[in-house]
Amino acid sequence: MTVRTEKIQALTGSAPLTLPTSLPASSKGVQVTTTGVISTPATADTLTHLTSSTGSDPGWVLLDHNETNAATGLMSVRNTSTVYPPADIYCYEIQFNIMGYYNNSAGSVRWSATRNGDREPNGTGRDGVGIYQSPGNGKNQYTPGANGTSTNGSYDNTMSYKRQGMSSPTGTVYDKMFDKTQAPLQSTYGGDGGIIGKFRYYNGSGYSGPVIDPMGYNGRAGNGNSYGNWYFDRNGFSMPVSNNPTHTDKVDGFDCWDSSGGDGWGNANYKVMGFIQLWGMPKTTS
Amino acid sequence: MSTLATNKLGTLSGSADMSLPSSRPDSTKQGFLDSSGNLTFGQSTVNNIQVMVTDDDGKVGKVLVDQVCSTGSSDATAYNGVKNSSSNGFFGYAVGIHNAPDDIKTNYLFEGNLRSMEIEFQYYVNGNSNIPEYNMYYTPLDLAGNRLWSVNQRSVSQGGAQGYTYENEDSSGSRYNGGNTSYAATGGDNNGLGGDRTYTGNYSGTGKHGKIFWHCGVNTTYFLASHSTSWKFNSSSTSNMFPISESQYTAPTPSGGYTNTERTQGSGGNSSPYGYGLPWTQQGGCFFSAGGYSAAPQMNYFTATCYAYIKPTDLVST
Repeated sequence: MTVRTEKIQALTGSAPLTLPTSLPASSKGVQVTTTGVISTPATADTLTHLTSSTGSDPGWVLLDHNETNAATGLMSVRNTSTVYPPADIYCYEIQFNIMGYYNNSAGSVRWSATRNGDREPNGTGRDGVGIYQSPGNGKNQYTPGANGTSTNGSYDNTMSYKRQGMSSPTGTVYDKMFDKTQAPLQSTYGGDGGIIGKFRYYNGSGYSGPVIDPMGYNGRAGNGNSYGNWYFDRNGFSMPVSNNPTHTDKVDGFDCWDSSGGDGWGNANYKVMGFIQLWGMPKTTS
Repeated sequence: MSTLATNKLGTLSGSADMSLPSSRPDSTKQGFLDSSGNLTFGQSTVNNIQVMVTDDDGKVGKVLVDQVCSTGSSDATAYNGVKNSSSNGFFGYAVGIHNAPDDIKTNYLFEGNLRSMEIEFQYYVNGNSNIPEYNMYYTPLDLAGNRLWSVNQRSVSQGGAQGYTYENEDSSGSRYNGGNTSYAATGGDNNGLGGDRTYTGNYSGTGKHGKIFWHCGVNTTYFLASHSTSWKFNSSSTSNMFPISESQYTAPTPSGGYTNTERTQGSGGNSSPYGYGLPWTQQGGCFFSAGGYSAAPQMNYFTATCYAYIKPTDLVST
């Protein structure tokens, strides 16, 4: 028995169904809507995180990914997840490429955790220390740095870098750096890519603060063209000088800015651009 | 009609000819419709998932690009994408976007969409013959798997920079560091492997693991760096078996009073104004090689996993 589908598009009765009038190019999953329409929609399989086979516990979750294309005073990422809210994240990992803009000089990127969307570096003060590898100096000690308790300008940790020297407007638009039809053809020195790397931030109550991964971040840390002005393998931390942080709210994101710039509190000529990915390790549910 | 007896209905034909199943599944199953109109029920085939999306807006941010591995007894094979001075391919393993499926390249890994990339690698010299001759090179490749640098770059004083650090394997752990400011990338067929490499050698029982990463810029923002740890077995003295930490970078540039006005690398000779010191296109991978080409060296248990961090990109359904 052969039935032409266009003749029975609407099947009536207790469960009326509308059949598809065309076939997919390859085998597809079939779905039925509440109105009875059968279709084979295009789909894409994705992950926000890996899931353990025991207890279905989540691994690192990609919570946010912001690319700042036009250089600006402040770059941010936030955890707005309702499934994995800040209180459930035990540790964050921040993956980034931060490029600085203005006058080819040496500077640093400053980071502050945010709580409820506000910058709130730990109020009891912080201290820390780290080591790094440098072609100029071998293995050395450095201070990741932390300073102050104010909302604007205080920070949890800092990372040395060199601001790129390309002039505006070609040097202030991030995606031009990756497009060979638009990328500036000259600059003062190489290494204008800023810093690439990652660090982790423990979101605890007794200890809340950054720990830079042993393969933490890399980039030119000074101006000029000395080959030694690069830092590798940075491994450092900063932590509250007191074991009792003044903040009880959990970290929900991070802001960063140039050490001479900022969002209204520094010199507006000093800007940052690039990308930040925010990953979180949630507590287990099993 | 409230009940449709599929065995009575049989085959539906017309603009979308469909063959309905004549029996029900023994438990609830997902339905599938193929290009021949067969409606079936069963278990979906496992789909490979190469992309990570954000929890907040579902944009793709990280892509698993490629994974390459060898066995415990396999020697490296010749790769024609990177040829030596005798026009033979160097022995090694090419890792990168050129090995990715076309749809992933089209949807996410296209030129201009890459921000930074990384390759996690490891290998172990499992035997005592055909030991890899020279350290471990990771020559940069373009998006098609050929050398990123199509010609030798111009070497000028205060030009590109190269730096490294490494340690002794003995208990003193002496550290070495150095570099230069006239680095020029090696390019083109029939040439050496360039300056992107680890700094300690290979022996029977040598292992290395680490990470290569680079900025995908096509101007002076580009750089390539690595961190790795090496170790080697020494049957006569355990005091010479300490792990070695190594790091290295190269940052080509047209600076030093040298100005580019165009991006052409393949012509014009070694003189201004051609685009020396800047990548001709985005780097898409690395060619891992132990250097020599007289005999296939052992690069046993070699594994490399390549990831790309990309501009936040809409997920593409298929």
